[in-house]
Amino acid sequence: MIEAQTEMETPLLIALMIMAALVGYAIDLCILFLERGITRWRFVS
Amino acid sequence: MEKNAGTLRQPFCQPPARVALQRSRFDGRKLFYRLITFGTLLLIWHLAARHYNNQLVLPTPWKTAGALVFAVQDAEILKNLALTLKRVMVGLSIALSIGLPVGLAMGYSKLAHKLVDPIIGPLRQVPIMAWVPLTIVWFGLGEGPTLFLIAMVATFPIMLSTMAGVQGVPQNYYHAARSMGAGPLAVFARITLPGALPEIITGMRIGLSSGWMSVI
Repeated sequence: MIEAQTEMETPLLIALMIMAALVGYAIDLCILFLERGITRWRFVS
Repeated sequence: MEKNAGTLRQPFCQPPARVALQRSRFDGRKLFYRLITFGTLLLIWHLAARHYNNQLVLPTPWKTAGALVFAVQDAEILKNLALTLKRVMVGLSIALSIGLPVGLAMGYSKLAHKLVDPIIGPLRQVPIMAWVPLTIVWFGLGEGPTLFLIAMVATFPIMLSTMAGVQGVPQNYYHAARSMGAGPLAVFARITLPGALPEIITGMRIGLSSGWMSVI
């Protein structure tokens, strides 16, 4: 990301930002999935 | 206690088919709203890129999509991503091993809260970048400073959420468990920990996001 920034490769920089966001979001979804499993009582209304 | 818990849980349960139906209907709507949001965002982005007409300032979504395809296929980028992911996971493990016991102690005991809070309160206000020179002196160049920073960023949300979760467990639950003969360990395992678990997981989510953001 820093390399893309120094080389002024804006499309690659934004692409890497999107990639980081997607990976972070995937990790968050994994924790949410874990939460649904171990705190099952909260999701049965 | 187990039997009572089982019978109490029954009225709140729905037939599996109904739950599944609600879930599938919800997912369809969710997908629809997401498509609208992303479509609008892409349209605004495209119009803004056309307005500026400068790839350095704002490239078009299609140009960025091309770069994303390139990034996903680049072995070097994927290797760095995996390395970063590993660091975040190790940092989160360190944060959990510190934040969870301290948070539980602070939530459970007023004495522990009084002892630890004067240190934790000001310490978590220090900007994370201010730690960088010191961590390089302490750990040298390499994995050490990065892991320290991730752990530092993630520890406090986990600690505070755990403390809030333990403090949020209603006192009546403790009274009920003790009146039924539960010991301190059973109270911790059956009341405190499950009661605080949603908050602990929320703390983990915040900690992990903060760690990921700080390391990138």
